[in-house]
Amino acid sequence: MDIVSLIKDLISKAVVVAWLLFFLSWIVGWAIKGAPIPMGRARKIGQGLIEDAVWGAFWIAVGTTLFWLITYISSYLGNALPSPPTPQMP
Amino acid sequence: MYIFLITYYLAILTFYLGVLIYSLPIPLSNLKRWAPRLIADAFYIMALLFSISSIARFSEAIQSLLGGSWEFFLSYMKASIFFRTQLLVFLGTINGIITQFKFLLGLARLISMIIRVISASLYAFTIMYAIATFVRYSFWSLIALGLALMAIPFRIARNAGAFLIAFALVFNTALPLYIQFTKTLILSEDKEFDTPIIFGNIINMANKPLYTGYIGLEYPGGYIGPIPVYSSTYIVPAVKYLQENLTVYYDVCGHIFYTNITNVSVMSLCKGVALCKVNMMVYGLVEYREGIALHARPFPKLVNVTIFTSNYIEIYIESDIEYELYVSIVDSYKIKSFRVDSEDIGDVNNFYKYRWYWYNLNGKTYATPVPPGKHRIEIELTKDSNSLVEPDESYIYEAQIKLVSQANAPGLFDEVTRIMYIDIIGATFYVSLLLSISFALARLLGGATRLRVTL
Repeated sequence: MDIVSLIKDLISKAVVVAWLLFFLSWIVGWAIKGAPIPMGRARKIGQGLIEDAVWGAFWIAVGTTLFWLITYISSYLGNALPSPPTPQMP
Repeated sequence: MYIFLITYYLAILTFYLGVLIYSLPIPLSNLKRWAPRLIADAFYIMALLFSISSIARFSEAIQSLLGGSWEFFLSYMKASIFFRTQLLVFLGTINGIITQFKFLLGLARLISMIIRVISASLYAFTIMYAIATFVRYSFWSLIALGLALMAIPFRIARNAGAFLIAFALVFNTALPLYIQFTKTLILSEDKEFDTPIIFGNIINMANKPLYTGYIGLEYPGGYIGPIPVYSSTYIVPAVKYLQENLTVYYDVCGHIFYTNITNVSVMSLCKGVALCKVNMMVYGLVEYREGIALHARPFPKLVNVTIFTSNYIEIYIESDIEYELYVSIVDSYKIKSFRVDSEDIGDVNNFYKYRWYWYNLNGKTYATPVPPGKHRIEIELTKDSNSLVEPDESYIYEAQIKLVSQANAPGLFDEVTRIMYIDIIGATFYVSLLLSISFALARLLGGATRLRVTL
């Protein structure tokens, strides 16, 4: 059980860090995008950061649903794996 | 099962790592490119994990559709290995006999060469059998380990895992089809199963092996004999004359001894088996050597010939009923004395029964009644060293020619060639074929486009 609990622990840590980083990079992205730097590349960097951060948030939100869907379908096929962990914010 | 759990959670971890990389405020595009890859990988591994048992069941269905079966394949491999080892023992015996004749050393070389080639065929089959048992018994472990390796994030062990899964799937499905492969591609007709190999021991009624002597075969077309017996073990492919009703006699010293193979078709004893053991039991004969035959009627319970030379014979017999011990000797021998329990029975000529004529030899038979109980019988003989004790070579040669012509010699030659060469080529060829299929399947499962593994 050690490896499994280690991985579960890692999953919850990754989710917490991902949520926090999402907020951080969203803020940083808007900061760079809105900063008065004349170079277009800086604004593109900011745009990229925002986009990826939003994608990340989307996948966090959707991921749990999708995993639940996959296990639900497979339970009809007869596989008995446990339901995916639903990591929450602390 | 536990490894499947690990795979499951690793897939979820991969997913959340991908999400984490998406949310990183580091604008490195090479790093950010990992994020969608990790997310896609996670879903792919989940889907593979849940469908792997359906895939395995589907491949087993394909296998049975093509006519392969693991039990049949494993028993076929065991029988082939066993037959090749028996053949090696048999050829080794012939080699041992031939090396006693100095002028036949060339033939001994030829037989050693054949032995070497059959040993190579045996190695190929043993390796294939080892691979077969390995794949058969660790199929699910390989699949589970392969999936777990594939699920490790960042595609570290993805190719390795894909290869393990592909190897297990392909070999589990396709190895038993080796039999169909040899049948369709290499053989024009499946000789191995229509004509089984029959082997066995030649024994007397006390279950002691008979090492020398002569055999006669009577089949509906005639009689072939005397065929010399070189070893107590015989191996024959079941050729034409074994399919008809056959009677085998043990033809020594003017007497024809019946065996348990009387008016039977040996093929009917070996239905549908690739290798079958038929012991040939000679009725009435105790032992034969160099023109001296000991036989008894009715056959005593226990008989043990401890010393049997041209000059002295010692027998220990135990019986519940009275019986007669017959000693048939060719005219080159004379019985000097005959003792039962160290007591001389008197003039041997009183026990003389009849004369006989055996190919080119004359001989006599003496019969002594022996009371029940345990006895020790000693016979002393003198041998006239100038005259013959075995039938002339011409009779034996003639019988062997007739046997070979009856036995459909080209068929026999094909059989031995097939064993010697085609099986070596076939086994290694088929394994490499399966390996290339599993490489291609691994590439399909792994799907690594950027990471190229050179093998």
